[in-house]
Amino acid sequence: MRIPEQIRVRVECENEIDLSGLIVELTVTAGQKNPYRIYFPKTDWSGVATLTRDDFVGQFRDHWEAGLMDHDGTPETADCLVRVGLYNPQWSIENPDTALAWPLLTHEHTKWSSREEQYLYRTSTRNIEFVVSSIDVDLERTNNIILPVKRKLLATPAG
Amino acid sequence: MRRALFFIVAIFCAATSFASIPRVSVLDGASISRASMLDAAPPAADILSETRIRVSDVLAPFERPVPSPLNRALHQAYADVSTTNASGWGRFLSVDPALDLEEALHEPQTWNRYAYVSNNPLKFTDPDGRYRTFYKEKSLREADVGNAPPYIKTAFYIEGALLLQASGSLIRTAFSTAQTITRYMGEGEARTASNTHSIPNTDAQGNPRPTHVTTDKPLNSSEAAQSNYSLPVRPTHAATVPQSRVPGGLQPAPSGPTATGGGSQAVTDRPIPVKPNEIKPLDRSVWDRVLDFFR
Repeated sequence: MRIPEQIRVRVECENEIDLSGLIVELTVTAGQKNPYRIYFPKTDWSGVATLTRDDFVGQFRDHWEAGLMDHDGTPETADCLVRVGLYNPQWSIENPDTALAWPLLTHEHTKWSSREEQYLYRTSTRNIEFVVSSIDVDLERTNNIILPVKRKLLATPAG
Repeated sequence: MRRALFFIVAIFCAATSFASIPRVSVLDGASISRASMLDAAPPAADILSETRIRVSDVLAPFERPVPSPLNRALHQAYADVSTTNASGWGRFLSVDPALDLEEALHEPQTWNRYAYVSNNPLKFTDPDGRYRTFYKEKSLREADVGNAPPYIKTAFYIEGALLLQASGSLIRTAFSTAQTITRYMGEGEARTASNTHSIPNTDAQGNPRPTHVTTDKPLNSSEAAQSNYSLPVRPTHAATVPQSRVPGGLQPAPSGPTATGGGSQAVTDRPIPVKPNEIKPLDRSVWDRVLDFFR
């Protein structure tokens, strides 16, 4: 895949003014094993986040450190059609001990000083307040992604 | 399998070479032919005086079916180097008149009809000068070794040690490759597995992933592991655990060899318990170490 210099995502939600603190996830298929998960930084209040090419490649390579036998393929051989959705922090919230046992990977070192810091950044996302239907995007045709999301309905007592 | 085959070949070579150690013996003066002995065997005293052999030192370790003077003289000439004077050929000067064609077809050593007991006096004897026969039950018993010449003792014990080593290696190979799995990992995963005592089934961000393992024989080299399993970078560690410890068992890796990289791979969705001492660093090439140094 020819990776764009920058990939920009804009999250849209009806009747929602503040769309900050959302983490968008790209699922990239490369090789024949497990897919790669690439994350945008948190969105600003307008729901916009930007991912640079270096960040994309760095996160891609961190997967090898995190599970070498589980991934093959390279950024160059990756499929240009990627799936865009929201990161699900549920597992990390429920398993803090296991999540914090990971050392910072090579590219993560450039963004965070410790795993705790990275853990708090990820688990403090507002993603669990929203639902999304994943969309497929061809990154060789566009580097501007619009991701529609919906606010989760809150349960109200009957009557 | 290659290792087992190597040991079998090594044992065969070792046994053959040790068994033929005493073939340096020489019949004195090259004057004794087998045919002449068969026709009219001279009295024992004559043979012994002719060949200048000390009977008492040599005969004790061996058990003979027929303790005839001829047999003793023939065998002793092969079994005791100290009694030979290296003036002969180590062979008879006339062919062995008796030949069993049925046996000779399967025993190429008997094709040389000048050789005494197929050049293997540790295993065989020739009581009547016609056909070789086995010693009573074994070639050399434990009780015999004490009185045997030093080089026979050495050969006996080395042969035994090699046999033990080979059989142990065969057993280890047969059991270890069939019942263990190996996971090649990078620095990050190795440290996590050491801390949590399990090979995780999620990545650092908590995304579930099917964990790939191999059931092949473990490799020690980082370079070999990368090329064997088509890994994107060289692994730094390998964890080898018994297959029975994988919870829920292993599933075949999806859709053929291209989906798994090289070798024989399988997957599991659950974390695999591992002990820290089962995670071992792999051997890295000098070039890899240099690159690491400059990183």
